[in-house]
Amino acid sequence: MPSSTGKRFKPTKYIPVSTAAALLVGSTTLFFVFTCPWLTKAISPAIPVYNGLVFLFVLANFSMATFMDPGVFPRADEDEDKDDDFRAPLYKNVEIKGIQVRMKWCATCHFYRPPRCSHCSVCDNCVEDFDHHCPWVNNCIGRRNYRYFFLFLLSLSTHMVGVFTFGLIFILNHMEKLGAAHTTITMAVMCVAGLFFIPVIGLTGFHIVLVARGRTTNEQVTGKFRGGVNPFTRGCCGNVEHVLCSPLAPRYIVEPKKKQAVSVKPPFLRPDLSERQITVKISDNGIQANLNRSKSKISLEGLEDKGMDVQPPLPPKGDPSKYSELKGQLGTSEEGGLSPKLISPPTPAMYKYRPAFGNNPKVHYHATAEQITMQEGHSQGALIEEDGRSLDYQSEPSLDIPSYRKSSLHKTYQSSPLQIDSFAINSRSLSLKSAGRRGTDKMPLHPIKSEGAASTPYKSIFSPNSLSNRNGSLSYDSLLNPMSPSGRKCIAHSAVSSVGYHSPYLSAKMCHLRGSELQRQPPQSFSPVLGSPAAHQRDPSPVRYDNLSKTIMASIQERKEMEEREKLLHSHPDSVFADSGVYDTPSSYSLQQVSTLSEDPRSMAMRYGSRDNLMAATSFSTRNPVLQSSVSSLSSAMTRAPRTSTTSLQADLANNNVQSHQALQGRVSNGSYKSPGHQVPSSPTGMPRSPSYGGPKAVSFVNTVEITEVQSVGAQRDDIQLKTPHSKINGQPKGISRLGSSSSSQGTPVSPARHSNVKKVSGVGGTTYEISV
Amino acid sequence: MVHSLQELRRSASLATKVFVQRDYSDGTTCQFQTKFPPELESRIERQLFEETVKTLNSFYAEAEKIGGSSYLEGCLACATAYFIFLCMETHYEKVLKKISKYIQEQNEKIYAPRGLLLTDPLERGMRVIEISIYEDRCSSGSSSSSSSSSSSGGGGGGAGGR
Repeated sequence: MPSSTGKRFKPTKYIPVSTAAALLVGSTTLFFVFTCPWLTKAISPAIPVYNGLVFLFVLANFSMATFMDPGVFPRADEDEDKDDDFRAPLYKNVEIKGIQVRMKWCATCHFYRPPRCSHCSVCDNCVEDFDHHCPWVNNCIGRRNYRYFFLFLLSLSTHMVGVFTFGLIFILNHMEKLGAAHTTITMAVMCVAGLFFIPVIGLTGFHIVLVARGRTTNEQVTGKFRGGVNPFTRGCCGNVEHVLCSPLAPRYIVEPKKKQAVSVKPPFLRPDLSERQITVKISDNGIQANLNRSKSKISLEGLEDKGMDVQPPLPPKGDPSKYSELKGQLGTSEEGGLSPKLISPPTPAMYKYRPAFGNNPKVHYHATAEQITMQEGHSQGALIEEDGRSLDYQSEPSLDIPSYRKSSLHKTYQSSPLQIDSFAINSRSLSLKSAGRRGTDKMPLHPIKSEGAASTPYKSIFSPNSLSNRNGSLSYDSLLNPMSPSGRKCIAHSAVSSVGYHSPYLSAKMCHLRGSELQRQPPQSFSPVLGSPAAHQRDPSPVRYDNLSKTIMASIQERKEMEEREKLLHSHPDSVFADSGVYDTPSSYSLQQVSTLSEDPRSMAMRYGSRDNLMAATSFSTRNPVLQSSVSSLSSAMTRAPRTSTTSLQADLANNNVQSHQALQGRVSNGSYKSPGHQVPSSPTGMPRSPSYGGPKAVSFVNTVEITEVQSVGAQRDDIQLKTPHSKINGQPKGISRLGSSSSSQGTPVSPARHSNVKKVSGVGGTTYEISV
Repeated sequence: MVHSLQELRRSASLATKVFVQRDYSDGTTCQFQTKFPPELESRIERQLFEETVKTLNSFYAEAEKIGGSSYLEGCLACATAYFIFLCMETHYEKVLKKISKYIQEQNEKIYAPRGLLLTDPLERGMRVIEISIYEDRCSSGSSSSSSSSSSSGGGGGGAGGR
């Protein structure tokens, strides 16, 4: 009896291999011993020769498939891992022949798995062109040994057919003595061959199809190209040729690293720029330098990640078209066209932009300022980016913008169908955008999400908690606490903003969002909404977010980690640009406020709201000196006694009359005025870095921002100034709405997101969230 | 004299590493992005770097080209039940040797004098070209705070003055 070639070192793992080998070798040997002699005599000596050759080929391929390194990637070194440190995105998008393919981060191997690569759980290695792990050869089938595996299948099929056929011939010629040993054994061999023929031929056929289509088993099984295009195919013949004839890829792992003989000796040549020059550059043109730096940091990974966020997963059906659309829009947006940028709703922007700008406060600031001053500004920003020639960088935002613009654009418009006023649109979109930016900016700056007006709502809304939480503040707190690394800050903040005024309004906000989401929701979603809609709004949200919430949470957490890291990284820049960080927060706030206002479905209300907002800002600025003095004290005071502001605010809401409004404004000096009121306290908390001048600086910056915005809006500004009293009166309801919205300001970004989310989840295909998930 | 002493004490320490990623735009054939990493801006001329990467890319393209020799090799391997692999190095391996020689040469000629070192992509699974950036410890300006400790000691830097 032939002994099985398999050696049972580790029982379970080797059972299939040894079984396969035993069957193969055993039955073939039996065939040679008992069947072939007669065949040689009766028919031709070529038969055993033929069978022998085929068998040899089978064996050779079998052993190659078994013993050859399938193309294992060596794990990345620590330093490379460090390089990929902000791996917040689990994925990284790469374009292959115009088709987006995503590379997943391999936590074990510490790199983004190259396209077609997959991590084999059995071997615990990343394998290039991973096909599958074959227990029958006890090896992964990958780039290097797929050919042998494929040939093995082919030759095995041939071999089986041969054995069966010749066995049949033998049997047919020995019908009279079926009981004899030779005949019996031949029949047994035929049985084995026949039994295994079915699965083997099936597998062979499957792989023939795969080879012809240029796919791997893994891709086929996981449905990667279902309905999409396979970027790896080379055409039928090309695929076959590639599998069978391409030069054997090298092993990656073996190389015993020969030490490089080259030694680095200190007096280095410094070609173009001396270091001094560089530093000068940074100092006098910080933005650009920073841009570059951030680019360099992110460009490879981060940007693509971001792209990922926005882009759909692997090409589902509508993808190519979407992609092309994106591209088209890209062009427009790059030109600095108002429309795409302006229209973009905040939420996606947050995700998208944050990484891009996240690294550098300065950059954020710059971008936002540009944005605020409208198109020209923006185009400028774009230009700067272009200067840096960060293709990724540039393309990223633009891609993103169109993407969600597409999704949300219509929606936003629908939500405010009445809106005709271009100014209103502009300001609104502007504010939205900047708000989004703001939020994004803030997040990186202050990893503690607590103060992040924009960031927190995400959590609260997306987190599973939101379902259970009736009270906005509750969700806020619960979310924040686990998430925020530094407990004290978050607590402080919660004390200031969330507990104080958020709790009542969050629900309102949600209603508000709801309203925009539902679009046709009656105007009451506005100020009065606070109480009633809260209940009904809950219904939809849990359902929708259920699916996403976990993943989103995960991604958020990842982001946070990333941010923390970034923070660490940028501790230097922070110190340098401390002020930028400082005013980041407040500006974001005010902008957000604007955005929230603009979010309102009613165009008229919007317009007023925005104006009112602006006015408030200006008035704020006038009050600024007072504030500055008061703010510092205020901030602390506020943190201690947040309730007062809230209660007053609430009272105002209830009263809903002009006088209260004025009282509120009067209270500005006290710091507890309206919506800005909460901002003020939050801003100091928001800047853990530079608490010293955080308060005043922040405020002043807010003012400047607002002013610039006003100026950019220009004509509108005039209106505002003229209508100051009017706005006051009219603004009262608006103010209330603003309050509601201000609380919802954090939420506002979410609402579009929801839109998009819902939409996308329902099946349009690629969405930011879906993707980011 | 003091100056020369300083010179002698100079040694290079590994500051950071830059990774040139694969360019997958043409499929999975091995090629690397020719985009110039900004970290190298103060270290090396753009053309030099790009030329290196392009040369490497062309080497890899040559290695992965399906042509007569690869056909022949495959057939020969089949005919000999792959035993030929035991005694013959494949076309790919030959090119890889060329590549490592080229990298070595580039390191010596161009990169090492600038405080850079290329690592053969093969050692990184052909995923990245790793470029180690070395800091001159005694050089005043560069403030890379993250200079990791590994100092590969190039000894004396220069001619002792006299």
